[in-house]
Amino acid sequence: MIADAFGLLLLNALWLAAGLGVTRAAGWWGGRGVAAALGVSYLAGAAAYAVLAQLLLVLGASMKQWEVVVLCLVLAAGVLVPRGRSLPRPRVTWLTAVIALVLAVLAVDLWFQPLWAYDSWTFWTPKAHALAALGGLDGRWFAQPELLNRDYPIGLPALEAAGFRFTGYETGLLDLQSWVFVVALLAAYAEIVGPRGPSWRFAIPLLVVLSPSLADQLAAAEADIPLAALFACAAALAYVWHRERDRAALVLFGVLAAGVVSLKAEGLPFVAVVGVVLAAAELPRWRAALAPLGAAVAAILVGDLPWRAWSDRHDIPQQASLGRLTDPSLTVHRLGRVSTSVRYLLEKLYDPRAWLLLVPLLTVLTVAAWFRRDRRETAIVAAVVVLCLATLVLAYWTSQFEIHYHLVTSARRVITGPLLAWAFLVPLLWGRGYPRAT
Amino acid sequence: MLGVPSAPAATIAALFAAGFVLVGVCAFAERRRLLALRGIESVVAIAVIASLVSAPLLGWRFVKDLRYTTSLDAYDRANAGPIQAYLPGYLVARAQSTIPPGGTWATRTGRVSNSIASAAFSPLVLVTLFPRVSADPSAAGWILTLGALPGSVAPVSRTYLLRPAVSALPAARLGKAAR
Repeated sequence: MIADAFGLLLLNALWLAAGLGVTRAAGWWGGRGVAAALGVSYLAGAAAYAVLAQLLLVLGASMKQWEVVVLCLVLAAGVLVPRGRSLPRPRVTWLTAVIALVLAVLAVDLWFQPLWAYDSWTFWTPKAHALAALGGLDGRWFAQPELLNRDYPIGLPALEAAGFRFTGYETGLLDLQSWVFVVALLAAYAEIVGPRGPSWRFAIPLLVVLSPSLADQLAAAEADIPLAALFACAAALAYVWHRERDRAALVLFGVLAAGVVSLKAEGLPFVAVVGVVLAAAELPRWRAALAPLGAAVAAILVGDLPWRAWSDRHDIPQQASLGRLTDPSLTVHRLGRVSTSVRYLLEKLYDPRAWLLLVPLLTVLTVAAWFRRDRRETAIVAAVVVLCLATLVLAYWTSQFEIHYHLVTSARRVITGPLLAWAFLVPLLWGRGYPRAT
Repeated sequence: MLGVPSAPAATIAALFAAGFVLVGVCAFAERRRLLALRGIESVVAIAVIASLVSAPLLGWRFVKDLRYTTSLDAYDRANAGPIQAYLPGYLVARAQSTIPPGGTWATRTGRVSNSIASAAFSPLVLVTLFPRVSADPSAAGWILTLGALPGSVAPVSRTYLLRPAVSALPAARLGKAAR
């Protein structure tokens, strides 16, 4: 397993190199600013890989080890683009050391964790295994009737399959792969929120890493943590564009959002919410409003369309259906599901056994920002979080599954994306300005 | 986390008491800095301090989980998923040697008292018989059942017992579809 871990390390280094190329080409960093762009770059690299690998698999590629390397090196060539700016170095505080210690303990725990969570062993990992073992997207296997969640996009299986190309079929390392996403997310927090946030900004990631729900979800090796990491960073970058008119942030929002869409079905409405809210915030300046909306639409098209086309061609029925949403007899008949799911989602959000006091704190900070900071900006942040949660309620309302079963098996996980985005946005809301080294 | 048991109330109370003492000592040592905090900073500090009361409980969770996961043998480690779903990992392993490569299969569960085990039967077959693919029961070459007879799904020419009923888990069977 140790040799396999080195293989995983090599793959993650490739994704980081790819991401550095993407972020440099976008103009996020330049000169000697690389140390202050590692977190955002890793997430951008993983997102770009997931989206492109999904596209290439749909087009018939097998994504063997050399293909993974070539794709990452092509993306990494972006570092040759002579643009970008130096970024302020992230500050290291005693809280950073505590967070690093908790992460180290988590890594030790995950090292010994087998593959056990229901969704991971029943369809996420088998899909990744099939991609690697069958040499790509085998239509017979991926369209077979007894495969669970056949309609889910294959961004995560593509990432895991790349891992198997470097480690062999080693499922014990999948939790550690999710852990790397969390490490990158926290580095991205230091890079994005660090130079902009208030004095208490590093208290938020401390509460995030201490939260039992994070440890539980990491041990499960499902799609929710990678999705939450990409979405939180994407939402923060979109907000940075809104506040600073930073084009690089908007481009990277698009890249990360496409990754979010390619990972899981709920990623699409999350991205749409961010695009629509930020576009609405720009009105009546239509040109400015089109920028986040355009980035979100482009991300949805790139992240979803190739897979949607492939699954339609193979007659795979979609679980998320606009037809169910617009069927008045069905929605009225199930009206009780709305209050049930709202109550259940709030219970899971505010459960201190899952997220300690993170959510009550974010609530207090958001309400206080309404009275003591900019009300318009507070409304934007609140709208992103509330509307993302509303899309989850909509999904439960129109779900084909029995509501209590569906809530019990998924609610605690699917709230993670909006929650971590909230954790990024609130300190930005309380930000003390946006210093930038040039 | 796989190995975290539900703790008795006394254990949780003791861990929280330890957390209160720990946080109290730290807060006392840092009282000047804490008392100097104003406004929203004090709210954040209170939330962090109150959350840190649970630190011993979180540490205990890690220790329990590690004690459990490091004691798993090779079989438990390789089959942790099915075992969590109350199914033995080898439940349909015998079918691997019976169904030829390229053979198609379908599953059906009958009377299975545990709904998680019932739902996990099909994924277990999918994983075990990889890369053979499933098909509609009317077209599948082989029928695998848990708590049902393959003949109740489609006409079969021969039935194999994969695993007899053991306690609450009914028998797993394999039938060769008659086509």
